[in-house]
Amino acid sequence: MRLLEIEDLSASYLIGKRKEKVLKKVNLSINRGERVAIVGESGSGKSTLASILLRLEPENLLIEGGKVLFEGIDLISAGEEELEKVRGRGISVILQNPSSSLDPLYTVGEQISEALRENGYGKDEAKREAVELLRSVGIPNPEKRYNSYPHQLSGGQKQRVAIAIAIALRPKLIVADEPTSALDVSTQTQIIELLNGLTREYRTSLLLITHDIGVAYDASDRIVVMYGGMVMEEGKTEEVVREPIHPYTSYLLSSIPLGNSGIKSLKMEASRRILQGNGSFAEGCPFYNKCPLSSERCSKEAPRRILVGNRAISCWKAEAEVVRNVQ
Amino acid sequence: MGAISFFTKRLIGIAIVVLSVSIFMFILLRSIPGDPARLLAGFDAPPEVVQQIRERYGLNDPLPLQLAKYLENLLTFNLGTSVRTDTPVLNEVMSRLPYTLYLSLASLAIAIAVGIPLGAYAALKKDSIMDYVATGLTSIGTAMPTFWLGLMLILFFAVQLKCLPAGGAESASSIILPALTLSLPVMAPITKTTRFTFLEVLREDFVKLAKAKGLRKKTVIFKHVLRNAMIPVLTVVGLQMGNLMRGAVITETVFAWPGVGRLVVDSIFARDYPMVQGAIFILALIYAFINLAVDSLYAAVDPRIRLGGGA
Repeated sequence: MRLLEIEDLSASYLIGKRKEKVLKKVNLSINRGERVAIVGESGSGKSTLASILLRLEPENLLIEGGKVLFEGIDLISAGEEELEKVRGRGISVILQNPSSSLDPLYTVGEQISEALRENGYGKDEAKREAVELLRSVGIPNPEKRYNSYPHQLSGGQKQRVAIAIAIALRPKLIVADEPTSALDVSTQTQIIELLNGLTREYRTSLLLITHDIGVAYDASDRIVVMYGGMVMEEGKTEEVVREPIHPYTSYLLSSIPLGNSGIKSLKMEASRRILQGNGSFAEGCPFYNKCPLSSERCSKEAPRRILVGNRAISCWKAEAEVVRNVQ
Repeated sequence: MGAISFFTKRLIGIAIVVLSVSIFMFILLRSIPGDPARLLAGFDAPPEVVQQIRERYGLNDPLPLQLAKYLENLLTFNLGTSVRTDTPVLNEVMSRLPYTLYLSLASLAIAIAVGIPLGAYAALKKDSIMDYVATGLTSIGTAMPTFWLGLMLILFFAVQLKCLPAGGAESASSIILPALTLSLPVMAPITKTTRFTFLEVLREDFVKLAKAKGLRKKTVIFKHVLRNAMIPVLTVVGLQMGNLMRGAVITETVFAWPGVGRLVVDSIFARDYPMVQGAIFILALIYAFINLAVDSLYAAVDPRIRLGGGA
């Protein structure tokens, strides 16, 4: 059994009386110990997907169909009590902005140990463990820092504390929603290294949500490229980055700022048309407007998911090519 | 910023506020028509007697001189003697003060004990019937005049049901109606602010993270949401102190409650300048110190204020 299995997940935001489709039959699975990155620009639905995993999605989100199976339990139909058991112990989360994800009124140590205490640790035991956690995420002088308030720490240190909270109960899956976007570049690299080290050490699975394909390249075994609420391409990180099949993946690779990532060495060539909009195209392929290789069919029919070797693709043009190669 | 300089600054601020209030009261009192000596002596008293009273209380001196004398006495905490009762103002005000404090604190306690849970509940059950009821009640509470509410309560509980006294302070249950009357206009803004800030805090990332790390809902609400929501509520409670004192004047008059508020009203009618001035001086002083106490509470709740800005 896979650790996490998302099947045909569809969702819309209710904006007044209007419905805005945000996820269109998303399929995704994560194995134990696997690091998966979801890459896409804002509006692609990646953060919405992440929030559904803990069932902490915004109030105006309507889940219209599909399943989210975590160790066989469907989180969509699960009750609040079941969810409370999954949160923290099964799945935990790291949010984008470390400055707003910690409660300003409590010490960072307290914010780690309260989670431990509510899940079976004694008072002293929780404190000891919290200090150890602070040490393991690379906070210098953890005994002293235990009593610091969030406003006394730097952004990078706060994100380290958030990571300590995320690993506190040794969850099986960590969902990291843009964990490095609010940090400066050198801190970004450190945080990614820390996440890689910790997931390896505890054999925790990681679902990394990022707009930066460079970050995804550095911290994932598999990449899922999303656009307009659809999974466009999915495959092994190395393969997808070296040889993108979907025109959107090529576009993404050619247009991102490379930062400090190891991806820098890979020069991607892709023709592109830069247009505005985030691809909430009603019927056809969401990328139709921006795609340099679009055909008429793309404007009318949403592409279906096909498997090509290790890769899953949703693109009419790619599908046609596969068919041609087989013939 | 050191704690000492904070308090020194605030004490100087309090001195300026209280002094300004005193001067303003002095001028205001003397701009209303009426002659205290004439009122005291009676309308058919011979002019010599009136003149004698004027001399005795220094009412014949030019106004700037009267003001200077008044301020000079204030520095030694000498509030003068009442024109009406011929007793020291300070003694009279101090004997009435416990009643006003009792009434104010009881009202504030009711307002907080009902307002905060009601606002929090309304926020947690947003758009439910309870939310609409709570929001509606706060609107009514804000709109209803204190004197009218007081009269209605007397009508219902004292006249119709005959279960509570209509006024005075003779029995232990006398406090109930005036405290209820005075609490409502204070409760309304507390409820409204609690509801609003609760909704704001519920949307915060750290609340999402608190749930995500496996805390029970109860812990998330009582530990994280409530404490964060209390900071703006504290501000409103501080601002309501003024409302409370203004309300006390009306409420004490309606319910014949022997507090400072009623003393002020009676003394204004008698043009008892020293008494009005003295009572207002003491009330202003208390008001300023309560505000200081409320501001100090921020530091207790919020480590960012207690420890100063960091990284």
